Amino acid sequence: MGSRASSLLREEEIEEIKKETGFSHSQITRLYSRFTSLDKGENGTLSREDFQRIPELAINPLGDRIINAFFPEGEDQVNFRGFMRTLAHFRPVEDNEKNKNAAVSEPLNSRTNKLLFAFRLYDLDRDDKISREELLQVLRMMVGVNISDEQLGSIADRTIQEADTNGDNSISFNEFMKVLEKVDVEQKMSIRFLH
Amino acid sequence: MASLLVSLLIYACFVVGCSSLTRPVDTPEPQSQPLSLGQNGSSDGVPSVDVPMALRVFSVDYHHVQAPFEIVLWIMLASLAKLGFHWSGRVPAVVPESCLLIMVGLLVGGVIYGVRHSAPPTLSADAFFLFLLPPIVLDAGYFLPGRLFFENLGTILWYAVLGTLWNVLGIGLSLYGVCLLCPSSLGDVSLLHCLLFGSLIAAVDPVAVLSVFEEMHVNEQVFESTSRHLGGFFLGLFFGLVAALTSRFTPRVPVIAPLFVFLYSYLSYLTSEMLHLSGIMAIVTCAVTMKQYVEANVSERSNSSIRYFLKMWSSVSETLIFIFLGVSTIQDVHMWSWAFVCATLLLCLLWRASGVLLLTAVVNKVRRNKVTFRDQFIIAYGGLRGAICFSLVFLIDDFPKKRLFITTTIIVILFTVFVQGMTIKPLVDLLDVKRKKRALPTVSEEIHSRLIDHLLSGIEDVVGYWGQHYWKDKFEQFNRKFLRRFLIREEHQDRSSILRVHQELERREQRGDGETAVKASSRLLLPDEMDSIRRILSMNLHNFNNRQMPTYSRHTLHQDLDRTLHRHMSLGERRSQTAAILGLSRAPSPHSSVV
Repeated sequence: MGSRASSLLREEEIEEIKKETGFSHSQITRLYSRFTSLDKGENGTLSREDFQRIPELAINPLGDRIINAFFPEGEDQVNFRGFMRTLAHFRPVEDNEKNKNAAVSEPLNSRTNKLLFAFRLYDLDRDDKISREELLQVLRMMVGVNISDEQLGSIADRTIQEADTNGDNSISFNEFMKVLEKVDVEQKMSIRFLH
Repeated sequence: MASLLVSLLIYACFVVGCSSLTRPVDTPEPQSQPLSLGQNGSSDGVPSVDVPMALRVFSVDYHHVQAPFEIVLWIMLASLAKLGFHWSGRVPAVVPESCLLIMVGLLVGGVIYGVRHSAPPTLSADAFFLFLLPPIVLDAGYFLPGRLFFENLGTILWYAVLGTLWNVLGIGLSLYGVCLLCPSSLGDVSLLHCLLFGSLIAAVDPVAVLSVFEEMHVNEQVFESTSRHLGGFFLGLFFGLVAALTSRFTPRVPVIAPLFVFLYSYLSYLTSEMLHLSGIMAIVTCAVTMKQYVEANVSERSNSSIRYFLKMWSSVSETLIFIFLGVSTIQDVHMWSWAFVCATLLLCLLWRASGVLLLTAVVNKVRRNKVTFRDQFIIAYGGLRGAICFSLVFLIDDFPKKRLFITTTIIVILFTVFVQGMTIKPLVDLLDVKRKKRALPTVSEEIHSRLIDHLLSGIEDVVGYWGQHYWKDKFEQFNRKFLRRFLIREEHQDRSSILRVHQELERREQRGDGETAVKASSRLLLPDEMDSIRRILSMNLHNFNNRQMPTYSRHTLHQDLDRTLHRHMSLGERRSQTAAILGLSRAPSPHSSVV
């Protein structure tokens, strides 16, 4: 897997990715170009450093967590399949997909899966609950250093209070979904990948 | 309310009385005496010497102040009418204000006609375009909801441009067909006239009307009108920036700060009119441009003054126009044609409805936030023709059937204002329209939305995708680096963004968007707390944008990526990609609805 030629995408792979993620052929090839341009080591996978080299991502308060989201549990490299799988969450929801019933497993870009992605940004320990500490961590990252801990704490408390219905002082995924039910998640969490 | 109406009548008589009192002294004047509000003094010269002492003193004095006096009386009449209207509790709920104003106008017109036995004063084109229109347009421009407008710019332009064209052509052509069908009464109405009529009766949005009208009136070449609009745009931009700069130096003289806003806007309007450019475009651009800088530079009191004065002037203008509408309805010569009038009414409704349905069908394929049937109904049915149509019809060059057009326009306006105006509310209630619920989002929604925004921004960066965020970011970058530093006072530069959000919230609460979800859902949260939380969150976003590391400015980095991207994309692909991005606009956030 040294030379550039061998890391070209094969048709079968494209088909498989198409099936799994729902991207179109041209979208996949375009994103593949992007993938290879990020892949400085030219070994067909991306490491965390490759992501960190994207300057705006470095300034993004949630940059590290977003990068983490690309890497499967405990791994340090992500291949193109994994890359696409993560990006698939941000594909816009098409109308004809909305009516497909759950015979097929839920597509990666469904509302639930989008929300799950966002949820997992908070929930680092994967216990399916956003605890107060996890919330505080993210808040601290988003808000910066100008806010006192008490203020932050009160914001966190308010957030939990609004969502928490079973009184366990943390936000479960269902509560998370409930709180965001008025938000047009399908639109907010979509990027138009141009054909 | 009754007493106010009576005093209104007295005032009307006063107006009539004064003008008729001058009659014996005046040299005979032309029949339709335009109340050109810009004229100084009266057109006649010599005060009579034969009039008895008391009257002579009176008439001499009256001549001296005639023009401003009459103007003030008209405005006073209009304002008192408005006052009286809102005094009663239930009437405003049923009858729209414009109805009442027209009725007052009818009354006054009737009185004047009764006394003088001649047509009452009508609005001259100059008065309308130079004095009555600018405040309305300026008001619209200044209070334009910036972000919503730009996010929905595509849709707005789609409806405005195409919708107008559809209506104009449809109505114009169908009316011509009707005219052809009744050669006896309507034979001498040409196609051009029909199209002209269609253009002024079809569109409802004043800017659209005027631009279409200007196009048809002056020149049908699209290039010409585009360049005129562009010229107006740049002129407005120029004046807006100069105004912003001027406002930077006003802290020592806060009292005249608001004046500059009005002066510069009006100046931009007049300058572009002088250069035959689009004055409306100029004034709107001027207002939109200068708004954020002026608001940052100028004290809170001055800001309030600006806002109130704008509202006041535009309200006075509108009122005056409606009253003139009523007054001018009482005319000597009304040309009537059942066919024409009924056809016009029907066609207006039909074409508008079909236009809206068609356009929506197409636009909904592209938008995320679909335009619902209820929204469509409002757009279609809520198209009240108003004062502008009326004034424009007078501007048509004289031709035999001009009176017919005028009469028809009046009927259409009366119909839309009275019938549609009064029935739209119950109909809309019937359809249960989701009115713009300016419900402030809950803290959770706020925070999670921010998270999602950051997330999306990050993913866009990973993908190397120039989404809507990119251009917004780029503009903000430019804005922050150059414009704000130049145009805003030193001490106010950092405060601005937080202050703006804070003020916006304050304003909302003061305006009484009482059904804030804040009070509803998060039972215990006080508005102040909410404000401070919002302030905190918005301050962060401010920091986020500002935190530029020296080697990693947004622009240099993209040049880096550009080079690599170029390797993989041809230039044509890049260009079409950018164009496509610019063309597709995202729907607004779910916290606001679009009508």
